[in-house]
Amino acid sequence: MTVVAPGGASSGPGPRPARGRHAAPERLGDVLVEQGVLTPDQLTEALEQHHRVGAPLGAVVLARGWVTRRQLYVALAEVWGADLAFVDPVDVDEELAHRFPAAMLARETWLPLRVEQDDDGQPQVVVATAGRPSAHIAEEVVQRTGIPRVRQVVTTDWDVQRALRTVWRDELVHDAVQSLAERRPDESASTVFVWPQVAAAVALLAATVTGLVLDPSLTMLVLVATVNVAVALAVGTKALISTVGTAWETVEQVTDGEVAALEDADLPIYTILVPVYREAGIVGLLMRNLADLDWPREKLEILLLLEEDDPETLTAALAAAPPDIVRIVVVPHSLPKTKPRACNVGLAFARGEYVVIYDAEDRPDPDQLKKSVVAFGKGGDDLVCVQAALNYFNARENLLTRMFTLEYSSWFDYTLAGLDKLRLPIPLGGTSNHFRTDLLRDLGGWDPYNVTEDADLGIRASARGHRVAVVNSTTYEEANMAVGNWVRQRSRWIKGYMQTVLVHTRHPWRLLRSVGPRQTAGFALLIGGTPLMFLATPWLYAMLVVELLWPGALVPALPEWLVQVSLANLLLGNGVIIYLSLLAGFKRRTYGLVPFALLSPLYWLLHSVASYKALWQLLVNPFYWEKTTHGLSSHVQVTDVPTPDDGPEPAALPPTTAPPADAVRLMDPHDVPVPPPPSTETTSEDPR
Amino acid sequence: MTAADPLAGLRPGASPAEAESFAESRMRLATAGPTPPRVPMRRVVLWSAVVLAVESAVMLAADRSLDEVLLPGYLILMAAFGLVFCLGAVTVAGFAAGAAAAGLVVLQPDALLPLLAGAAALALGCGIAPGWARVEAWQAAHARPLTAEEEAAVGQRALSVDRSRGWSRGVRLRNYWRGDRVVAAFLVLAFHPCMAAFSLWFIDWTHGR
Repeated sequence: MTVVAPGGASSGPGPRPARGRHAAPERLGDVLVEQGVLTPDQLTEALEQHHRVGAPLGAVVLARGWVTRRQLYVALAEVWGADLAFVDPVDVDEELAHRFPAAMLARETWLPLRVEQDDDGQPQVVVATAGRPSAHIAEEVVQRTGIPRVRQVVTTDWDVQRALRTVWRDELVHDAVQSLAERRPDESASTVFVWPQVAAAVALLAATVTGLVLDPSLTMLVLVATVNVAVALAVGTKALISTVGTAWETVEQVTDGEVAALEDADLPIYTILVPVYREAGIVGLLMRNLADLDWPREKLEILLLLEEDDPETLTAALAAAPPDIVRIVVVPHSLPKTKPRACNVGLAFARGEYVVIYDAEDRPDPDQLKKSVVAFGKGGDDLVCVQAALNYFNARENLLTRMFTLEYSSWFDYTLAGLDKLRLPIPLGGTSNHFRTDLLRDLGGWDPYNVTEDADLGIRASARGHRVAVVNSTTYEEANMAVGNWVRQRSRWIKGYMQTVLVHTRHPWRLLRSVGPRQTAGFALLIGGTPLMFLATPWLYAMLVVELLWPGALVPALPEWLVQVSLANLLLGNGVIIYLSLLAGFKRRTYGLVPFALLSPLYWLLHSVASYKALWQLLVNPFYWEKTTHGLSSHVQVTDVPTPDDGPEPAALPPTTAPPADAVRLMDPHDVPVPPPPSTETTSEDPR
Repeated sequence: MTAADPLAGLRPGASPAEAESFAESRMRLATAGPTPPRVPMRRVVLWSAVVLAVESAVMLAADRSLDEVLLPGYLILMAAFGLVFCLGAVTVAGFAAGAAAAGLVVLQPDALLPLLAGAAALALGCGIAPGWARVEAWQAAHARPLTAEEEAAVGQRALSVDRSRGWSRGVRLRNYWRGDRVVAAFLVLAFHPCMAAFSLWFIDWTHGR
């Protein structure tokens, strides 16, 4: 079909007058029935669901697995009166392609193919779209090429994405990695230290060395006193915030009644991003974990983000034949190879009004998406993100998982709740953070150079005048149960906190003006104080040991009162940490974990080990992403990668009944035959 | 057979009758929407402050020392928030009660053992106090939905939830003794005074060496 932008000329059949809105799904349904891919009973049921949920009929039949994507687009092409084509990336004219931004094409799911001569010998641009051919596309093409004739053919959204990943590969990678660093370099961790920070550090070091030479006692006094004040403030801030959170332990941000009042027809499309790396067999697990989500399947989009250099996981994902609402997005290889980079690529393809990140082994509460939507509705226009609580399903697996669970319970149930109540900047958790997609794009997405991109994003959102809130829903994850794995993960988190502090303190006055003094103090003491506390703790312990073994040995170097204050600080700090861990078991009534809170000082020493590793990495390898190994828990039944003899084991996502037959052809649709040209009838049906 | 504890998981090998009872209990919690006890904490704090102010004024007017003024003040706070913790299952009240007990220990180090005995008594009270059962029921109803099997089991028989029998709004809940709850409550109440006592001992010890 050729459509022409205003002022242009047309050489092909124009679109037929649009029919009534209600005619569109019925027309598509009739075509599908005529083609023998849908039974009349299925059509009746699908139309009921279409009216009930408010999703396009194409999305309904796809979600139910009644038609394949290819069958659907054959029918849609007929309904829309356009030719159907399966796009091979090598057929895309690269010179033409690069006149169009990949992000726009990914959002609107169309792409320019080539310039050809029409029947009159005039040049025309051929465009492949996965949606209904539209004047908007024609206008965009004319604007960018100056060629007034545009021929729009229909292709599948998977074809569009594959071509985008191939032809616009460099641009996609560049946007995902460099977008924030180029648009707002001050907010990117791509530069680890700015020169004022380096100058301050050098000056501090020089002053310390000079002081130690000239007046060792005074210098030691200042150093130890500073450390004590910092630790006391950090611990005190954490205690205060958590206590405030404790006072709201039974407050529900969203009630069950509010969730029940939601109508399916009013729900928006929700995109779930699932970044996966070297976790073959995770797709089956993902399907099981997300199967309980209470959200119309027709309005759910799951983007499985796989890395290009991870063929094992890709093979396993394809072999698992995920249902049609799961799209596999292969993230082109580039550095830094971090989760936020993959998420940025996923964000470019996200079509949902809201987007959330889950890890593959996550088990969110079934009503989490609905609660988030209600929370967004109640939260006002400045609410950019809703963070659900994280907790662990394997808490009782060993001592480390118990301690980890207590820590997470304290953090997500009390500390974040306290931050929310006090309206302080909230560092987001690794997963289950729900975003308004448009605001997230405005913020620049995740910083791929920050290894705790989530915490950074929460602070960045606050600094830009947005708000982050918590919601009373939980995602259950797998607690790290091996010490080495835990130290790797924790060192990354602490390094990320250090990066976040370095980024957001580049312009302290600007931060102060933008978020206010209370929020700045909260950020500095919580995000900055946490690594500092871990780094300082071993020195306070060393003082304790020296004082116990050789009483008075420190006094020549330090005043006695300072030694006493340091020991009291250590004692009180550990007391506070133990107490917060004691309380942590109460919100979820996991009393069995409470006695383990007494071991918190040992657990916090482990943090100190990780913090020194983090500090070292910050200096020598700041962007290195310490990969956490998942699936160690006996509670996680990760399916093996099927061998060719096994045959694919389809992963179902109820109520989808069966995976589409062409799901495994996602990566290789070349062998799909192009059907004969369809009729030229046009309706407003759109599978998206 | 006793009624199943809806807050626990169904034990392996449970009889069909037990499973049905278990499912019914959970269904009651889920459908009747148990609410946690709402203790008006602002009112508690306000009244405590008023009583403390009156007590302090009277004691100061009687020319008592600061320690003598503080001692009953700590006792009042400890008793008020201890009761709120025990009866209302408000965790932060346990924090306040424990902190008040720590203050008492600082003033009267010999009071540690009686305080621990009091904490143990309160913790035992937490083991059977209905407020805890209500909070746990609320948690259970919100933490995990009924499984299809549980719903199906309950669907076999009609539910008759007599709200008038309950001790407060919502469904009537049996109070289940929970040893782990008692231990946890004791730790929360006893931690502060123990910490205070240890700190005093440590200071004395380091000075005495």
